[in-house]
Amino acid sequence: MTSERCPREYCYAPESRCIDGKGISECEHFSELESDTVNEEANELRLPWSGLAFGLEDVHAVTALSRARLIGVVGGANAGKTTALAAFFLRLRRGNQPGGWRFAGSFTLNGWNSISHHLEWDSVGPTFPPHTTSVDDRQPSLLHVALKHSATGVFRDLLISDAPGEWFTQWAFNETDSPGACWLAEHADLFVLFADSEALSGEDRGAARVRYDQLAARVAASAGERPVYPIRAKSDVEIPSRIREQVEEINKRYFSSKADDLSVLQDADGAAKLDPLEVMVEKVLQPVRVKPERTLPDDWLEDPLLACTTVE
Amino acid sequence: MPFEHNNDSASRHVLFVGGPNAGKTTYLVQLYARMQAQECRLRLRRPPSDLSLVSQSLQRLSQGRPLRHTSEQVRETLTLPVIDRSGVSRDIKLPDYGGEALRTIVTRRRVPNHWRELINRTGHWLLFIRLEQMPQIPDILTKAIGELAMESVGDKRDNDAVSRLPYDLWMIELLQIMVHTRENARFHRRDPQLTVVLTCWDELRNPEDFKPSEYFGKRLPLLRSYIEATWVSDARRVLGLSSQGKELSESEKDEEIIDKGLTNVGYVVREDGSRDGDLTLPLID
Repeated sequence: MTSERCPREYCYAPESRCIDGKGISECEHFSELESDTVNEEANELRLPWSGLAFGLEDVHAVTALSRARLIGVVGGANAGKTTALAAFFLRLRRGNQPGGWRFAGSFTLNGWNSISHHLEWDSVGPTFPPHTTSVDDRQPSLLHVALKHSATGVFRDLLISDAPGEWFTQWAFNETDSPGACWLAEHADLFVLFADSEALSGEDRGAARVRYDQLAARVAASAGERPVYPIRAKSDVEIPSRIREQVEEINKRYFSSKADDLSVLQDADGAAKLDPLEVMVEKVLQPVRVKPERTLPDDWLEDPLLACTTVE
Repeated sequence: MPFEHNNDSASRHVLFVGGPNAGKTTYLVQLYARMQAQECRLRLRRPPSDLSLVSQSLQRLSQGRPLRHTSEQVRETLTLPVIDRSGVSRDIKLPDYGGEALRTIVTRRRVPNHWRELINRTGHWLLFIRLEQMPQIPDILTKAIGELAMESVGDKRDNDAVSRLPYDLWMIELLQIMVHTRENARFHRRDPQLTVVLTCWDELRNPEDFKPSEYFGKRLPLLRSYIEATWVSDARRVLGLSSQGKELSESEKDEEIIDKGLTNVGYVVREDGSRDGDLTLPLID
């Protein structure tokens, strides 16, 4: 790929398509560059997606068409977030249909492929980059999958965050420390909060519990009305009963719910516990009902235009 | 008929899609040989005016030898003047190219002009898939997810595995690019018909009457899911194909083929699992 790119902010031509939709040779910004690529490849069709995981600007490839749903995957370092993502995609590859939703495409296939190789994080900045550039480096990003419901035929775009645990640990203690976590807190439609069974049963379990408590409090405060689903990751590891009780207490206090178990390892009965993430997918893809904000006349239900607003 | 896309209604353009060694050229040659023998639903009205694309390969196959690789640069089109059973005459245009060309499109993320034209002009895409060439797929489908996850944690960084998409993801990306190219053309054309052709069916050792779509769904569920979500049911189908009825080897001539002749070997597996010696079937509805 060429190293020269359009000097304008938010435009990554020629690597992806010009944001004005112009051909490379017609664009006045790009023609300022002295480039062989302009002449040689002027009329080739450039694709608006790179296949890599999305940076924040890349997301327009899907958000311009419909309201995509975003799942915020939150949890400390090494809590099992990546493994859960890899397992989710692997199950799709095996033909799994969470809640009747079937795979209908993805603009981040290389991104999903990298996830399944558990790359270590490249030196990570404090927030999502606008655009990801390399297949070989892992950067905080959003993964995309398009799904089609097998019964209704409805299409939805789903984005799932892939961000390092360090962000969330910092964010839990000081909100302003992690702009990336703040962005996610602002935009996610649903949060999945990972508790690390391994850390909660290890030598530093006291500290791990405190970190989980802080993070839970932060997520609960940021989420407001939006749902948060606590997950007990690596549930094949037994957490000592007293720590476990306290973690359950935390989940009850902030989210009024119990944590679901998630494990990629096989249980005695032979099945890995992977359903929780798929349940989240099913939940986040449901139609969003928006309550009308204005005060309405008593007979508003008779007005077909005001009766109900469904945002797709 | 989904093929009537061109102003020039007397010709249909059919695009063969598939990676290297998927069996595109072998099918092309066998198709020609079979049509010439006039035993098919589609018959030749007259010999094609330019046979250079198939003549060498035809001689090689008739000697019971496998074909050589088509180079990436090859950009030729075989035009077959045919007549169907109801007496309708058409020219079927079949461009041939090396499978590497498609890999290049996916890695470079650009669609060259000549490919844009091919993609936009064609009303029928034949997707050639040779399942025996994907040894890793069964692992991905059957191994415990935990085991796969742990394996990949271990190997620190295998750049090749990271940057090279596995087959199912690669094929989906290619189709997404082709669909996008068509949408980008900004004129209204009906979507192309899609026929998935599972080549070298004989290598798979499936029982008789086994349905190609079932096998396809079992081995490449993600690709199937993408195709079913993108193409309406009467615009897509899955067929099996064994162009020569058996695998040919580089070192040993196949005496049976030499003696019987090409037109007496090879078959298509229809959607219901039944076998049919008419190799023109994948080109027809």
